Amino acid sequence: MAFHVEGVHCTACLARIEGAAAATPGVLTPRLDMGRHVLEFTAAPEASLADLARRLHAMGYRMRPLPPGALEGGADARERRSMLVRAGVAAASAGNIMLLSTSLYSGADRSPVAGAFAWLTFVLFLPILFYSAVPFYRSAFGALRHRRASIDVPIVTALAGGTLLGLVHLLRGSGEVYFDSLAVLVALLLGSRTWLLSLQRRYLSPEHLSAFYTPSRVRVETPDGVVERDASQVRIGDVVVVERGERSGVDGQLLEGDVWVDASVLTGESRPRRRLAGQTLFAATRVVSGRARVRVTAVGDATRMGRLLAETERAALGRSPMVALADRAAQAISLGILAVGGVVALAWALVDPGEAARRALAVVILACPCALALATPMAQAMALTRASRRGAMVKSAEIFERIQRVRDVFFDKTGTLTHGELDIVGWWPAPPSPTLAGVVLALEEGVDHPVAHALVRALRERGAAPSRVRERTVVPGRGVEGVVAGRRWTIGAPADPGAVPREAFGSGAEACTVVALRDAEGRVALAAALGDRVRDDARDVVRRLERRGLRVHLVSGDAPEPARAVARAVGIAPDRVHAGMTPEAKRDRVAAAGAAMMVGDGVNDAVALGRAWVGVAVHGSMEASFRAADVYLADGGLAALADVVDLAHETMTVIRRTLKFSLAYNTVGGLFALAGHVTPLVAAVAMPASSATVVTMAVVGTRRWRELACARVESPAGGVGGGVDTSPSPGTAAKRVSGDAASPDAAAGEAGA
Amino acid sequence: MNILWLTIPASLLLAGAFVAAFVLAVRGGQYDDLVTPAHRMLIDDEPPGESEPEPREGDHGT
Repeated sequence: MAFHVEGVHCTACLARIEGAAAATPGVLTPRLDMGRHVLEFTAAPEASLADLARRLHAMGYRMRPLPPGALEGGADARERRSMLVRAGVAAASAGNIMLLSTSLYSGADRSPVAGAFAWLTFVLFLPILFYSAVPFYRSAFGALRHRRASIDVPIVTALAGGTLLGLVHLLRGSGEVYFDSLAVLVALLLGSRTWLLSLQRRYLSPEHLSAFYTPSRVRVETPDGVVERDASQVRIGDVVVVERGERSGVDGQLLEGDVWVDASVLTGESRPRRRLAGQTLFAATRVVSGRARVRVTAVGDATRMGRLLAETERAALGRSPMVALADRAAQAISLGILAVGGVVALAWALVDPGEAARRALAVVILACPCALALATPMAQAMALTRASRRGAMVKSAEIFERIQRVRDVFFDKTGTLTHGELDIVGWWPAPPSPTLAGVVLALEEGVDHPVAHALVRALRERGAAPSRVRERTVVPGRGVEGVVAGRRWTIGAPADPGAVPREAFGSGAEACTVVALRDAEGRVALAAALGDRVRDDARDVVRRLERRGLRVHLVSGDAPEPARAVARAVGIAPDRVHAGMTPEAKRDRVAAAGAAMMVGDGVNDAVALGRAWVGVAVHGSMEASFRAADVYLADGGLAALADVVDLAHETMTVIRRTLKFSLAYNTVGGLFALAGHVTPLVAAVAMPASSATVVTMAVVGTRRWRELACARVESPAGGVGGGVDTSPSPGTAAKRVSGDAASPDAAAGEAGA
Repeated sequence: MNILWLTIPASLLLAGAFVAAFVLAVRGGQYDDLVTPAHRMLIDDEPPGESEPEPREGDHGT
């Protein structure tokens, strides 16, 4: 079995992940592939995947299933291996051809072995022609059949022309043989393409999306008590129990209870909502307090979640393809070559028919935009490596070109710009004194309410210790009261909203809930503003994107008021805030914008992510968003997004530069060929020289391109994860790195313990 | 120069043998992961003795 593991970046990760997997009963011979972030193992019958997932989650890693093709022995692995063998065979043949050709150039052509050497280079060229170069033929013919532009068309033309010309000269026993140049060309192209292929992240594929949505286990009430069952075995009408902290695996009607539900994944609402008996609990929403008993109304694909997933898959697979810059350039170049070659052939046909074919073919070979075909995958492969070093997974190299054309960026709010958890935004007066903190802690500890969880978590992080409390009573819907050190205290909404100045909490707190600690006389001793905290780097990222000339928008399923408050906090213009959007409305808005980038995390964003020109999912995203996205920000925070946008622009600058060089080179080469000045030696020197030049251009690139080669320096807050947690048991969450101590997941675990 | 008729076929045979070895290595999965082995050598072996779990067969390739 094989899974994608998120968050792998160092040797310690390797040791910990393999160690944890080996310690899980039933998991045998675990092997982690750090390049692909794939954990492979043999599973004994007693193996529990949930157990393994829990162990990895406890260390800060996350397991995701792989799409079918990416598995060991799957289509992807086979393709990679076969490309590698083709490149290896081409390199071996090219090397030996070069050895023979070198002696021909340096005088052996006047010796009796010259003929044998020339024939030998042809024999060595055959494996390249009939085996290694096959992918070029396939791609070129596919492109021609669909009347698409492809850089492989001029390559195949040059290959065919060169072989034909070489063969004619070989049979005549005189004239130049181009096999050495062609062999080296094929070997270099295959090498760079194999490299690129090995870096593409196939597990971001939206295929079979709904198959990935398996809310592992569901607790079903039966006559024999509550039993855990696979979600697929649950029937409509069954009664299912969802404990606090868990996500529901089904759509159902609440039978009893008064629960608070975090539906942000599905709707984008930042605050948990109270749900009473008779109301619907949707699959994938999380119960944050209380215990829900629901009668199942829909399972699997019939749930709202399932329907959204199906829609996402359709959207992501139905997206219009784009013709890459290199392919468009190749088309123009090929047409130019054919035209010039045709004119040359006609002109020479009047003078000397034999010479006409020879010169026309020489033009075709020399004018092949091979430098471009080599430099493009090189630059893209380097960009993919750099993106992954910056903490972003990019699905394929084509995405960089898409990003470079983006004009509008749409951010989701909850979980993307914000952490997606109810948290303390500010205190009044700040910081809270240890005495008052102790009072609050004493009153709220153990109270099952989202506000209480947030308060306890925040105060525990500050190191506060609870005081002794007597006569504590929880008034549902009002607050908590109790006696600490002889004085009676109450926590709840402030009786007089004016008692606490909103401005005291700083910007971004306008849309927050305020709770106050009051003494017996009703005076406010301490107040806290609770809201969804904005990610630290969000403002900076918005600024960097706008400096690029992009229009930054906010789309949210939440109410206008909190959406505007977050927009203000991160610096998005109020007229670009779109609140109250359903998943379908988000999709339409993004699709209408044309070249738009959508950044989101929840299932409510997935359809828009799949439909957008470029979809970006953030750290901790739901499976659907992860699959529908083109780019995944694997590290916490948004900074990697701005890096990826920079990287895309730099990559295209580098590719354009090599394109210009290639054009100039081909023009000069073509002119020489026309004049009949191209000897085999000139071709053999000129071809590698141009390849070396473009490779150097790709490596050197621009200054920003080189800067992006370094890993991002993580700020102390950089590791703060956020967003949505789908783990079966957040209670066991621990820290991955010290910077993660403030992670809501980890903190939630402490609060829940 | 007659020796060339012997040495050049011999060198090509040798090259062919290397290509065959390369193909076998790729088919055997030795080129599937070029990143992890460099890191794996940094991990300490399990100390031999009391709590030694079963040997990690995975260390001999797949």
